[in-house]
Amino acid sequence: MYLLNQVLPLLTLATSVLNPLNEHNALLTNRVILDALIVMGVGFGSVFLVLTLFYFLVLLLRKLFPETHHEG
Amino acid sequence: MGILQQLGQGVLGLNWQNILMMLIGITLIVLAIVKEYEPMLLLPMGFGAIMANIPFSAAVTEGGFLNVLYNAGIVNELFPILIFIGVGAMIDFGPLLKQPVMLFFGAAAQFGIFAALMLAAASGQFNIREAAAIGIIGAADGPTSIYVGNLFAPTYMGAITVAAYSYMALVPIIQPPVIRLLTSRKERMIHMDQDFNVQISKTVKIIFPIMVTIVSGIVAPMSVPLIGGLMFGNLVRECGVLESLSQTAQHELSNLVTLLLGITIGSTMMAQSFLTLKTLLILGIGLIAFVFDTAGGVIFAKVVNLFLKKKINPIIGACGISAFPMSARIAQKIAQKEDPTNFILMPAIGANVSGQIGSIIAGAVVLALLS
Repeated sequence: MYLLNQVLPLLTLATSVLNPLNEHNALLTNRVILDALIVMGVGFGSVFLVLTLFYFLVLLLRKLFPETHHEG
Repeated sequence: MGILQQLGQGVLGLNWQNILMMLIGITLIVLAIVKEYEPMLLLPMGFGAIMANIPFSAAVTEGGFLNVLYNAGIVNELFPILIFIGVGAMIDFGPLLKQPVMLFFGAAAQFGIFAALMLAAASGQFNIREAAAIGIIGAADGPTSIYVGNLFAPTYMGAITVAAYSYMALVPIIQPPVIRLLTSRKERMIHMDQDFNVQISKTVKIIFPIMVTIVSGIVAPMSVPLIGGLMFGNLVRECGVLESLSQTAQHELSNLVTLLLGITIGSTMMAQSFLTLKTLLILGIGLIAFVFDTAGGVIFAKVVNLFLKKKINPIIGACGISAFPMSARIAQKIAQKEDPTNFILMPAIGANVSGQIGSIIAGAVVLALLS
């Protein structure tokens, strides 16, 4: 929270420059950026977590049901 | 006079925006025929765009056939899911099951989605849901883009779909420079420790799609339609007792739905919503998403290599996007250019099909977080 409080004014300043309509717009953009950061962190983390889970499940499946004969 | 006016309404209603949109439609058709860029999608889309932008076109009015198709297949998300059944029936998860470590590349290469989401959000032009829909262009996965786009940014669906499919077709042009920029020649020459003598039992191949559906569904219930469609198609393929259904899903179903999907999406490219600066912004961010996808995968492979004795060829990382099988073929081509005896196609395909799963999971997670 402390970090966010430090970062938000900077984001406001940055987006005011990018989107110089008014400060209200900049604040709205900040909100969107903040949401995007959260989605990025949680989302990317979740994708890794789920695929890591699949990795272990595939290893488990291969152990439980090994191929018993080789073709050819 | 009245009859003449009625006959001439098309001519009178024509404006530069309609003409430009029709030219864009023609461009898509030319790209599909001459350059063979995703012709199955871009040609119907181009034609749909032309039909939708003819002034007073009866195809897109209430009850018009494109409007009926839109309500029947896009609004309720039916077409993308049917496409996934066909895609699932086409995919052989064998290479992935032989080297499950490739799953991590399917996750890493989704970085472009989130990078693009950040960019779209930072542009100040889109709300968070629209930014997410634009980010999903980075999934390199048409049906997922349409699915999320329809829910979060229906106004920009034409632009999002055009970007997703165009850049998928341009993967052979987009990926190689990024790969070369981020890897040394020595890295590109790394031979992969082939672990492909491992035999995968039929039971594993049958359980895999069921397991993925259940686990993904529990983690992200929003993923059930997409991942369920994909895995159902794959189960039909792998079960061994539904050969004719598998063939139908791979060919007739896929072709029919692709045909209808393309022309319907094309009809959403109306001048008033497409000819905006935001469309250009979406196309630009979409391109950056593909670049970041590739970079994310390659950099992840390089980081993993720091801890491995037997190094992974970092080109494999770029295959984590779900542009299947184009990305794997490009990886093989780049590796063989450096060393003609280097064969990385199988692990590349493993990473590529893993990207298919990763992109759907990413789409579902984004949907779950923002719904």
